[in-house]
Amino acid sequence: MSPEIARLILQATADTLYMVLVATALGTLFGLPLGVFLATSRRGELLSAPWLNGALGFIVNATRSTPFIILVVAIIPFTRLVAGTSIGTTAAIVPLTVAATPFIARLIEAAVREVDQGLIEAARAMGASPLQIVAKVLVPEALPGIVLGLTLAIVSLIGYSAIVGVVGGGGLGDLGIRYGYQRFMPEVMAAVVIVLIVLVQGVQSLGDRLALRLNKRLRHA
Amino acid sequence: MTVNAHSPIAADAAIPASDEAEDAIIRFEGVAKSFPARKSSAAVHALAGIDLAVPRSSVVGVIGRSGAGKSTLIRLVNGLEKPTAGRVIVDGTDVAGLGEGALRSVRRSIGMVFQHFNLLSSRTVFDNVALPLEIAGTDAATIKARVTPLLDLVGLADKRGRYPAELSGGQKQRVGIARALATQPKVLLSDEATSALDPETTRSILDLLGTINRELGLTILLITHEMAVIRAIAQRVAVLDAGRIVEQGDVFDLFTRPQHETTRSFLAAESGRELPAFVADQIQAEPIPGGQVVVRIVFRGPFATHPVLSQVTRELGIDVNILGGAVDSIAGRPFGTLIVGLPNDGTSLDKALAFLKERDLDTEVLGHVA
Repeated sequence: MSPEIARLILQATADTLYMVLVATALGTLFGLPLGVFLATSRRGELLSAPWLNGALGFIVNATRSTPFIILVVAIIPFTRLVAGTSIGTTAAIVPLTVAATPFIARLIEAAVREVDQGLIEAARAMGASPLQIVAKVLVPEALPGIVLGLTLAIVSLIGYSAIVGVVGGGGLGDLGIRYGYQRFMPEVMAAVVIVLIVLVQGVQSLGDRLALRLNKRLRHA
Repeated sequence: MTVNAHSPIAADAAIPASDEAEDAIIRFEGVAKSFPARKSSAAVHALAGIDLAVPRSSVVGVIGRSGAGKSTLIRLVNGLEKPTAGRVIVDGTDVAGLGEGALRSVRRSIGMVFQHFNLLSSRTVFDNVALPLEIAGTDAATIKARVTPLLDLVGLADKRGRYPAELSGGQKQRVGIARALATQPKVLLSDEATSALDPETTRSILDLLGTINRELGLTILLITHEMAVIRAIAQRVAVLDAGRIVEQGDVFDLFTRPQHETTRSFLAAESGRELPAFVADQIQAEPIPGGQVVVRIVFRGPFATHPVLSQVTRELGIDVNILGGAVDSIAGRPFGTLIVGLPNDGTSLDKALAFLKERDLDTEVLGHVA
């Protein structure tokens, strides 16, 4: 493999990591409050707001049911508004974040819903406000589940990031299509696949280990 | 744990002495609670016509079966539930009329322990006990000064850095109790605190609650479905059945002279009240010529420790056949139950019952055996 190709693979790996990590960070920033709200705002729950819960739930579902490739194209005007351009690696972060946010929100909602209702009652009995219950009880108790959810989100985003090549997003997927497929360079395709496998494996085992360390429900003295 | 730091007496000094004979820190007045009908279920009337007073520094138990409304009742005290009618007065304040903000500060003066402990799995023992103080905005130094003696009090000083998953059930409940005491509450609510524990652990947790009541003067309102719990630490008891208090009073009186059927059924397995199996199998309502009359004798009061049965035999010449029973003490007063067989000869029964009645012992004819 020529040094030129190696350099391309390295650059593509860096682009993929950049897109995925920034999109995950932004997706968590928006998805965490959204997920916590979805998990606590049904009728009679801590932040009871059934109407808003229903509306946000609908938006989340609508975004998640749109195929990613269509989402990327459909929100091009929005991408241009936010990133100043609709082409390139930085611009690709916009659709990735838009796709990641509702996904992460649902994963966090599921993790928060796993928290024992008795803990919420105990915190209320201590005189905790709803925000204190979220900050001191729900999020810390759901943290192992949240970490596993974010791991899943990163793995999914690595897959999504291959698609943003169609808008010049760069990254490993783009490299694989342009060199490996269109220029008939199977060794590039193979290298891309191997790098992706290593990335996904690494992220998953890192996430699993972090979640295990955070999970104090298991006895590991 | 220093007693002074926790004594509510200092705080009470500001309150003028009540003219009422009984200084109740919690008072239910005509309380009712119903849950509105939902699509899938009809309206539920959980509680009705509840009048109950909890004297300051006492231990009051509410006993009932599951579904009797006791969980709802205890949650009315700290406003986790709101009554649909009546008043719930805690230390002079009607909590039923408070908004969420005011309720939160009242809740900080009411500790609560739970059947399933409800400890945060992500926090260590120390941090679990610290949680109510963090919520109240207490600074770290004060938290440390407050939590450390509480861990000593509940005997978990060496477990401060452990997580709940590393503790036994009894240890978890001790953490729950320390946590409930962290804000130096005036009242401790115990929601089936020992129901998930084995008998021996139950005993030690009840001893701890009793110690806290005596040494800190803390008022305890507890709910349970076990008479053994009531008997171990309560001074007063209310029996809840289908949302109503069917009987309430002094624990000794209720144990020794139960009036209501529900109370009797709760007492059935207690203190030898239950018929031994070999008697229960053959007992019948019809008298049997030449057989025995089965009588339950409840010993209480000044004659509880007198050798009354041997007097019956010696002075009346009646043979008494002991079938079962137990002698015990409740709230420090001796109390016993004996199930005896008296000869069914037409006169012995009446003479014996009259003799026992003279000595203020309660008797009840249960049936006949051969």
